[in-house]
Amino acid sequence: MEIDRRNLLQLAAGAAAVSCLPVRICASGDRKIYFAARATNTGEFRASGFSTSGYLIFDFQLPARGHSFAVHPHEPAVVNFARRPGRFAVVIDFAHRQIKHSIVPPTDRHFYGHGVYSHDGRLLYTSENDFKNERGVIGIYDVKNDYKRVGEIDSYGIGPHDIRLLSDNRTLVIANGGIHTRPDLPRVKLNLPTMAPSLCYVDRNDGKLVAKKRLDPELHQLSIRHLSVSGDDTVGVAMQYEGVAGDLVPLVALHRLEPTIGTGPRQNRLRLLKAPSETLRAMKQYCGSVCIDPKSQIIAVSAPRGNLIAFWDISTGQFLTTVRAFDSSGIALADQPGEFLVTSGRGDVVVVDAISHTVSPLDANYLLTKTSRWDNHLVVTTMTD
Amino acid sequence: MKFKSRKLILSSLLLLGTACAFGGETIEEKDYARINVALVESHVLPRYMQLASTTEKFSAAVNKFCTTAALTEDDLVKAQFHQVMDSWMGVQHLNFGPIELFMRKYRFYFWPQARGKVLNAVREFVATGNEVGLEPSNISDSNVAIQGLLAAEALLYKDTSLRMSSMDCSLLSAIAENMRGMATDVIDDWRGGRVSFAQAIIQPKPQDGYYQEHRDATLDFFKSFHETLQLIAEVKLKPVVADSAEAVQPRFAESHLSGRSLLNIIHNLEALQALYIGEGEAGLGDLVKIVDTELDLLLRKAFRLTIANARAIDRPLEEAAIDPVLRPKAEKLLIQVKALGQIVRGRLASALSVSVGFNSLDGD
Repeated sequence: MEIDRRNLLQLAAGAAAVSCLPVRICASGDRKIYFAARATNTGEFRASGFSTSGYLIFDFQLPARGHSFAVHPHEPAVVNFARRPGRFAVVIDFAHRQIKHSIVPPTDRHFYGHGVYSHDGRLLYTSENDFKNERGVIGIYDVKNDYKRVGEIDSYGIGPHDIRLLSDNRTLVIANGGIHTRPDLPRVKLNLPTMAPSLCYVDRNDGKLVAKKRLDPELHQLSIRHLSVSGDDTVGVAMQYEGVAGDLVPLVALHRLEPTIGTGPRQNRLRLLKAPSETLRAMKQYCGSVCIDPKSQIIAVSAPRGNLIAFWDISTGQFLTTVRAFDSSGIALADQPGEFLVTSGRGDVVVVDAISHTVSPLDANYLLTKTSRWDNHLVVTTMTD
Repeated sequence: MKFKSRKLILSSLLLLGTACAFGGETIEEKDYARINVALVESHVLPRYMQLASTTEKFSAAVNKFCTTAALTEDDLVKAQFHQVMDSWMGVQHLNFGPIELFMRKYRFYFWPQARGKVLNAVREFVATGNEVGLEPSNISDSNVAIQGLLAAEALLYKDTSLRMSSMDCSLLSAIAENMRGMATDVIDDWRGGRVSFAQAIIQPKPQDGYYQEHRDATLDFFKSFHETLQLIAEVKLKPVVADSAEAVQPRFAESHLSGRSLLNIIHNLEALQALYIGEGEAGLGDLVKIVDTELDLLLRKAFRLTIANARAIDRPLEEAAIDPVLRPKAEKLLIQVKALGQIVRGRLASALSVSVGFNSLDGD
């Protein structure tokens, strides 16, 4: 179904009238707001926002399944992107609980489900597929001009998925998953024998490639998919293996772009994190999301096929532990160091503590947890006074 | 052929006790084990042996044709090609195991990935005139688009008459021999060899096996079931049937050169039906019967009606889709396969108590 801007806004407006609960935005003391896409038991797709205490802030109907969110750095706005190969994104003003804009990419592009704002909030960058030319691009949208598309730059790989911006407000880090797909063959992976994933750093000012990191050739079917970036620009990488079932391959990596020395290439490689073979086997070659907690220096990775969350120490690269969590994929920082909020495909919203290894349900009566299936990602923003 | 250590395995299964609760009834680990053994012996191995047999006959027919250059042999070559296609469509749903190793699945059949690209790839390769590079050991390292059934079809059906150049024949011979070798290797790896995948399924190992428990292997059979229904609906049927007769795109039809787009679907559906009801022994349906007899009856009926409708079309799909009489049947087939997919995704997974979640069945 072709989605146009008017239809999308009408659909969203109708949903807003019936779906928003009359709630405070945050309960007393709440500082974090979480965003996730979900499906209902009746088959509807929705974009939802809720506070730490479980108050539902918005819950807008979508034309199809949503995926991840980009959070505006200064305004109460988020963008929810369609899951690949979708062609819609909605900009949500969560202070007024309104959909403010819809974004539709050019007809020969589709979204991959992720995006990021520039630090000044003026531009939005999205991972997109130029499927006719079998290349990944980063679409650029002008926020102040009703999110008009103003250009694109190369992602320097096939199948760009997650995308983040480093602290210099200039360098984009892009997970080029390496898998070519086309919208007329939805979700068919077209190039698994030859796929070549990469982690690319791209200067958003001129579109030039800063650095391109590849895995060793024997790991060319390890798709680099999802990212988390800490305050010191350490990049956590979660991957999915498209090779032979039963191969035990690393699924998590760290990388940090080394400072430039002269004009030579930046040599440092992806640092693959080890895990016990029984953990790798249990993860079933698939990671859902990744989240770095800078306070505890822990990286958490969800493995929904393995029904677990796995943790590593960032500073040492040491594997820490796993916690059982059924079909859990969305993962974001919770209030305390070492704590992560986790959402699942059967509707759970739980706090997972990497230090005490405990799993505690969020007191979230408004979240209709029994009628939700949360999508792969959970995104958080922290409110300031 | 029965698996040699079956008695030993079956007796050891009696010791298993892990149970999975479902609505008062239970599917126990020994139930999964029993079904897995039956499926390996009566479904997987015979079907791969059929593939090995047909590829061997195809290779022999191609060699005879190419060495004698007798056009009277072309019907035999094409007939053997169709036999290989039939047997491939009978195992296409088995997405796991030795067929995954060394990219065999793609080397056998790189579709829909290579849709629209195979003829050009074959023409480019033939134009090189490099017959020296056509040893089976070389062809197996070549572009996957020219290694398997798609390239064989292109060579056999690119012209109305089977007048092949020497280079065409050399390439077809190399392809046929490459497929024969792969089919033999797949059987070897299932029954022993480097992998012994049958053993991996029948005797899962908690510590270091492909499967930690019997239910894990049943999950792979379930995924085969679900993914193939999706493939039939979304890739084989939907782009060809399209929204109207005017929008039909014949070139999107699978095997349109050899005119067997619908036949492929029928073989796929019959293979899934066999996986469900079993082939002389138990199938996935025997697990469903334990917990949900209504669902079992529903699935058996759905397969019966869907296959009957497919068989009633009796023309290549791309032709049926523009035929005023047959188009409603083609549209109905798409709806039936989608409905089957919804039943399988919505009800079969929970009935089998296999751990398939919202975020894990079709990851992103």
